[in-house]
Amino acid sequence: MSRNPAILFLKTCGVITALVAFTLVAPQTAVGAPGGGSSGGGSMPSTSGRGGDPARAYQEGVAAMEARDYRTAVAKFRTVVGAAPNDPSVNYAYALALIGNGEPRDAIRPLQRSLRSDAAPPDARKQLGLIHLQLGDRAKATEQLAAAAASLAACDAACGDVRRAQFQAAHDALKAALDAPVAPAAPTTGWLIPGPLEGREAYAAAVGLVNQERFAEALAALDVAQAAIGPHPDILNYRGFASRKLGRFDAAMGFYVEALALDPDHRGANEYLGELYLQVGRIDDARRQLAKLDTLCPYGCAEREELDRWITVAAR
Amino acid sequence: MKTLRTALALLFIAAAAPQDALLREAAWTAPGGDLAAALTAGPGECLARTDALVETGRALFRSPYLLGGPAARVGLSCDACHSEGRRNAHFLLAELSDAAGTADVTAEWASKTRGDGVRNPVIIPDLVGVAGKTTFGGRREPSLETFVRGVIVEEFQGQEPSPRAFAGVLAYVRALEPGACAAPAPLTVAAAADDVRRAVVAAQASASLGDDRTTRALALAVQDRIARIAERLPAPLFDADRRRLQILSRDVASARDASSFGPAWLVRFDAAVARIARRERRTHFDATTLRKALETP
Repeated sequence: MSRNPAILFLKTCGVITALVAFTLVAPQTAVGAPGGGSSGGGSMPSTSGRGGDPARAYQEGVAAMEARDYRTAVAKFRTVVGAAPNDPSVNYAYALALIGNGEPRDAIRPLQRSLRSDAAPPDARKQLGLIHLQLGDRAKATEQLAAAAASLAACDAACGDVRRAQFQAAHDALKAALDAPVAPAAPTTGWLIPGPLEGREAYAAAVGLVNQERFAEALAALDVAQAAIGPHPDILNYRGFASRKLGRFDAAMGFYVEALALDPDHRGANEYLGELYLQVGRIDDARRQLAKLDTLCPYGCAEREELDRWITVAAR
Repeated sequence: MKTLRTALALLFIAAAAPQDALLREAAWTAPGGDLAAALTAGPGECLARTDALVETGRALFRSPYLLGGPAARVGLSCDACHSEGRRNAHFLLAELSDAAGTADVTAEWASKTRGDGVRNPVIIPDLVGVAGKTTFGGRREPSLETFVRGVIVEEFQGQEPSPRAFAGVLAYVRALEPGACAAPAPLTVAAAADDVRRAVVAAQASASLGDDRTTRALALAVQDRIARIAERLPAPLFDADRRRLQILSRDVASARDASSFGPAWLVRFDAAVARIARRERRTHFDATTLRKALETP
C-alpha cells in the first residue's frame, strides 16, 4: 500500500469520524488485502471499492438538489442510475431532479422504474400522480391514487408504522390534488432527501434495530440511509437482510443482486445471498456462494464461517 | 431508540471513507499521540503458567471467531479490548467508546440481548488477577464462568463455545497473575509468528483428543494470526511473502476438518517467517516504517 487515505481523512474530517471510517473498512482491507473482498455483512456496513463512486455521485446529486441546481442534479443522478438502474431510491431521486429541472414528462419513466419495487419511496406514487395531473391526464392520476390506496391497505405490521404513515401522506396529498377544483401548478418537487449526517444516523439506528430483530423499523431507517447516501452495497445488503427476515424473499434477492452488482466481492452480500438460497431450498447455489467466500477470504472470515454453519444445518 | 446517535451518528459509509486502512487494529486504536507506537507494542502478558488448555484459551482469546455478530466481522476479539489480557488503553471504537480505553458493554451494536438504550461506556478493566475476584463485570456476576459465557454469547453474539474452548478461555484468564507480568515489549515478526505456532500446537493437542469443534476453532485462530502477519507486509516488496502466507493459511483451512497440521506445515511456516524477519525493518512491525506509512497521504 503506497497511500493511506485514512490519514487524509483524519486531517480533513475529524478524529472520531475517521475512526469510524477506519472501523468500517479496516477489517476487509487489511486482512483481505492479499485476497480482496469487502465485508459489510453482519451489521457493519463498510465501504467498498465499486460501491463508492455511485454513492459519491449520488451525494453530489443530493447536494445539487439542496442548492437547487437541478441541472447538475439530473446529470449526477443519471450517472447513478447507470450504475444502479433498478434502484427505487435512485430512480426516485433522479425523477425529482428532472421535475425540478422542468422536465416532468421525462420523470415518468424513472418513477415507474422506482415503483416496480416494493421498496419504492411512497412519495414516488404521489409524484407520478401529480405529473399525470399536471399533464392533464386525470385518469392516470386516478390510477395512481388507487395504487396508493392499495399500497396503504397492504401495509401490514411487517411494513411498519413509519412506512404506513408515508403511504398515508402520499395518498392524502394526491387525493387532495385530485379533489382540488383546478389542477395544481407544477407539481411540488416535495423531495425530502436527508443529508449525509442524517443518513449516517439512520444507518447507525438500522444496525441496532437489525440486531434487535426489529426488521420493519430497520428497513425504514435504511430507506433514510439510502436516500441520503445513495446506492451502497452495505446498505443494500442490510435491506436484503431485513427483507429476508420479513419473508420478502424476492425483494431480498433484488437487494443482494444490486449490492453485488456494485461490488461483486462484497463479503456480506455474498454470505447473505447464500443464506437466502438456503431459505428457498437452493442449496447448490448456497454452496457456490460459500466457494466464492473461500476465494475472497484466504485467511478465513466470519461471513464464510457463518454461511458454512447454515449450510451444514440445512444439509442435515 | 437510544442515544447511540451521538457517536453512531458518525458512522461513515460515504464515498470518502478510506479504502486502505493499513492495519486492522487501527479500526479500534485511538488516534493522536504516537499511533505507530501504539500499534507496534504490547503491554506485557502476565501469564503465570501454561499448559495445553491455557494455550487453547490464549489462542481463542485472540480470535474474533470466538465472538459473533458485528464484532467478529470487524475483527474484534477479547484481545482487542484486553491486549495480552491487560487493558487496552488505546481502544476507541465509536460504536462502543466515548474515550480511549472505554467500551459500552450494553450496546445494541454488538448485542442482541444486552442493549440497554443508554450510551454508557465503562473503563476497560485489566484482567490480571481476575481469578481472585468474587464478582465479575458490571452485572456483578457471581462466577467467572457466568461472566465469560455472557460476554461471548450475549454481549457479542458468539456461538456457544465447545466445552474445551470455554474451559481454555477460563484457564487462560485465570492464569493471568500480577506477579507474572512481562515487561512491555515491541510487537515483532518473531512474536507474531510465535503466536501462530502456539495456536498450532494447541490445535494439535485438541486434535489428539478428537475434539473436532475445538480444533476447528483453533484452526480459525491460526488463520487469523497468520492474517495479522500478512497485513503488516507492505506491497509490493512483500507480495511473494504474502502469497506464501496465503498458501499456508489455505492449508490450515483445508486441514481444519481433518484435525491435523503436519510437521511439514510448521517447517514451511518457519521458512516463510525467516524470509520476512530478515527484512523486518521494512515491515509494519517496525514502528518507524509504520509511522511513515501512516503519514503518507
